[in-house]
Amino acid sequence: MKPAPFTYVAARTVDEAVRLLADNDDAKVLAGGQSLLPLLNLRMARCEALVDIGRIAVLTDVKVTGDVLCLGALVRHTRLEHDPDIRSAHALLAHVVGHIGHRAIRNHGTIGGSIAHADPSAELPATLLALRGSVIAVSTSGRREIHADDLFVNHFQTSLADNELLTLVQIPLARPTQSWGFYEYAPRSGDFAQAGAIVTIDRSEAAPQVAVTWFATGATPTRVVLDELSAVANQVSAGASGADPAVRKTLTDAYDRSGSDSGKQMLAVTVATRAFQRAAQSNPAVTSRTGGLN
Amino acid sequence: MTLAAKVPPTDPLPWVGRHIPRREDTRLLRGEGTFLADLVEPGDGHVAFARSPIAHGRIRRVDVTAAAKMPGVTAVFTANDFGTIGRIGALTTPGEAFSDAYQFSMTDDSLEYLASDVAQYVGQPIALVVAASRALAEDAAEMIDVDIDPLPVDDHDQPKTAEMSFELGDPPTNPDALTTVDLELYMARHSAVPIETRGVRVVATDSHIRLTTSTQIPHFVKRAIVAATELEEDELHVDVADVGGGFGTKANVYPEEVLLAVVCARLRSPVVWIEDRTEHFLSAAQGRDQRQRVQLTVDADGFIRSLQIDLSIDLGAGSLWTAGILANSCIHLLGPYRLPHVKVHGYTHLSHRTPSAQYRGAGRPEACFALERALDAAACKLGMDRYEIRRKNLYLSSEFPVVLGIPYRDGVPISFDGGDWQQCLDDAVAMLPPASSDDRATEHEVIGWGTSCLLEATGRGPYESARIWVQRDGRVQLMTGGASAGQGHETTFTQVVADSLGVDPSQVDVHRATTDGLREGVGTFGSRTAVLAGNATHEVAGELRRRLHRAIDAPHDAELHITTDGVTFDGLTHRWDDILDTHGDEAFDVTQLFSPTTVTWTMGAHAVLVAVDPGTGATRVLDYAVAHEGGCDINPGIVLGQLYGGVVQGLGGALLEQNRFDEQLQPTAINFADYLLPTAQDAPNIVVRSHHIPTANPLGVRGVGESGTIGVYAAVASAIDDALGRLVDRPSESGVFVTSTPMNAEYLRHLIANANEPAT
Repeated sequence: MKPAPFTYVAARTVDEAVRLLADNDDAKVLAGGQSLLPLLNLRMARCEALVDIGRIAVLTDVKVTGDVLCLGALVRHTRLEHDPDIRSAHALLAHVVGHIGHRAIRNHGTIGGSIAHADPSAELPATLLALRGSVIAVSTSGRREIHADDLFVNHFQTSLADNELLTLVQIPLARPTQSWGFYEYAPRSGDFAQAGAIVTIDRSEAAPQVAVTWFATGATPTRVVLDELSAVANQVSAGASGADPAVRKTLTDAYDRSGSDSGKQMLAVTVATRAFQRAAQSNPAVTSRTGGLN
Repeated sequence: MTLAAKVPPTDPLPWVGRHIPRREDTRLLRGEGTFLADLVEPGDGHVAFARSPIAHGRIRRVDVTAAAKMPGVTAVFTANDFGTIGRIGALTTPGEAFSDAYQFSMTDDSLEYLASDVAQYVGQPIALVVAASRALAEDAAEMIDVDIDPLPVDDHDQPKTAEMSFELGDPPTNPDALTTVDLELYMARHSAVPIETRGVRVVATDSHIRLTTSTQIPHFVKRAIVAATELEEDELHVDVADVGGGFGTKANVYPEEVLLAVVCARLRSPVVWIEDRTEHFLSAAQGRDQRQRVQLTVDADGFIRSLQIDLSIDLGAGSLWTAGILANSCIHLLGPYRLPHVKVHGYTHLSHRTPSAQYRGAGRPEACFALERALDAAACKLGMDRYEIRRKNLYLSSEFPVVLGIPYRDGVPISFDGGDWQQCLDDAVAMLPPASSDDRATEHEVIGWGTSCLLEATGRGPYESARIWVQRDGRVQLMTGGASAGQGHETTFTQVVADSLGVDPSQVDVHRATTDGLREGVGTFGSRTAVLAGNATHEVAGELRRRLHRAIDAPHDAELHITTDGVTFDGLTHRWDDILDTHGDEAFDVTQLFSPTTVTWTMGAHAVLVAVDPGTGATRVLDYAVAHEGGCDINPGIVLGQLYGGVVQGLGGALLEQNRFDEQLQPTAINFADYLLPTAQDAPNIVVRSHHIPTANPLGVRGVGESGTIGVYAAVASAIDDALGRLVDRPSESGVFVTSTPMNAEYLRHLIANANEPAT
């Protein structure tokens, strides 16, 4: 269980990192290493060159620009969990991170690494998609923004080019009209999820919307917008149980539209139902205004 | 020369029976243990294997040209380099009395230690590289070009390797008036997964080869290597370092052990191989994988009238323990219950999966699962309480000894002794009764309760060895053939020596097993070491004491005071130098074998409380209780440790663990992301009540190594039935009934989905 030989290079700046990526046909980026290093050791992944971006300080920056939270690619899971500024920008991030691996993994793992790795069972790619975020990709030929909708292509595959470095993760700030619910099932604490769902409810009068984002159910996280708000909200009548046939019907239909693995349907509907209940219950003040809930 | 005696120690005898802290823990918990990988020295040749990439294939050609030219490579070996490839033969073959009684037959399923012509499983060694580091060895092993033509991996018509059957009593004459349940059960393949993987280091001197291996059975390893190679008996020494868990997977002899011995003998320089976790999942012996058809007939009151079982075991590409696994499975179907009629037929067969060994319980958990599942099914059909049906079928204390007209594996007629088995079950249920409320469940969960009873044959012979000797500094040295894989032998055997010789424990050193330190030995497996090595230790210590009496001319019943200064009697101390000079050191170096008359029987009852989430299929184990009828506990703390660990290991097999294979029999759970072990977070609160019922051996001990594990699968299945039964109107008709392991979330979702479908 030793990696195949590779060249290790530690980049000091983003420019240097992207130049190294441009110069090496078969390079991989090392961020927190929590997925890549085991894969290299198992020889399930190989590369000619390993470009370590861990010393590029600028990639640990966290700031709010307008109504967008900007997280450097190297922001570690533990910081997402505990940084009060990040929590107030969007509490969902801290919540989902609690479900990632174990403490030692969260101390090393990074948001950029997780998103670029695009494990279909990972929480952060699904969160980016659910919250309508985007990433910034930099290469020697420039910089582009990739919306989450266009980022996740397949299992462990993104639309990032081989010579592009993911530098920044952008997530719109939480809005008062928005509530969310998260639920995942993993066989043991810290395991990869076998199914997970994030439900977002936006009760803004201009653009009300209910959406469910599933992960660990298919090749990529998938987001499905449910039917218009009042109809769905009506289904989540006071304390609607997971067994409520109408809720299950709506979510089953949505799951079918997501094109995910049919064998997971029962589990996927369960996690979505529970995420749904949490989302519906997490913002009662706003919920009451919709008129759909007693 | 004599000296005035010192003040005697304040701690009186006996030491046996006390929960003293484990002597080895200071070393182990500080990271000061010496495991196999700690022995590696600069200059060692590191070995990596080229292993079969497919489950069955004809090896056309193995080209090592490129590998041999890789940097740092010392040597590359294939089957061609060894001439005729030897085979590792069976480690257990039953005697005539057993074979006759059970119509037992067995074929030779010994394994080549290096695949020469046909590879039989994914991971079988085909070639090996010796290089300056493990990384370089792996790089080179990758360059070995193995041209291999796939052969069929079909599971049908795989050859039987052993078969046995027996029938006791007469079938009921009024079957129409009785109730019969008929089940098909499967216990999935899973394995031991010790925290320390396997590993072998071999060094050569002018006169001999010394092989250190992470094993439970160094003496078997030596005998097998001598049998399979040209190495001579006197040329090879085998020993062990600290061993980080075995659980049966290391009570085996492996191709890697044989190969490293041969390679070291060729190169005359040290070689080392430390198994990595992927190799472990591919090639370390696995267990279980048993199918059963069970028919249990009971009368209207729930009394068992007949039990009929057919079972088959997939041993994978082979097993050195075929007879043991099959015999354990069949004989333990007798269970702790009165069976007026029992008819059992079982066989083992090969497949192109990983080979098997005797994983903790080795047939006993499977037998317990069959019997207990059938009792639950019968109780359900009769509308009877699950506790009640067990209680009324258990043997009563007035019936002991229960002599059955059939021998155990050792050929001696089976005779159950015990205290009060009904009390044992009552205790388990009293410690953990069925839940009176759902307080412990979350909003999504339902609670379930289950129970099981077990009976385990422990302490099987033929023998174990012990050697005791006194050093010039007065320290007492002990070595037994029962190699330790972490069971705390240094502590328990010290307690036995302290009592049987009459010394303070601080004066005793316990050595690891070596084949040169102790010529004969069997090893640690099958809940045997406390019974066999424990009694062997008791006997050599007693013999040493008798020799000391004679040496100082003390009456045989005189109380001696033995310290590092010497032996004090009647106010005078005989110093060790004087004693040893007068009589010779060898006079106080005693080796003996302890051979038991037959096995001892350990009964236990388990109870468990689970919470099941029907939406996800997830099971949480909330509480666990074990009531246990052991013998004398040499160290009650160590017995508790065995039971706690056994329960948690059983929970792994019951709920999470499975060595899975795809259609081409490629293993698909070869790392800890796919092979799920229970973690500390998955371990419930476990309460234990031990009854001490001495049995017929000098120390009065019964084995305990497997009791914790054996009952878990059945108890958890019962509890899951109970939980899922709450979701449906008529559980007895809904088909909510666990028939296989692991009872993971996927399996439970399948059960729930079927139960919710309208009956057709």
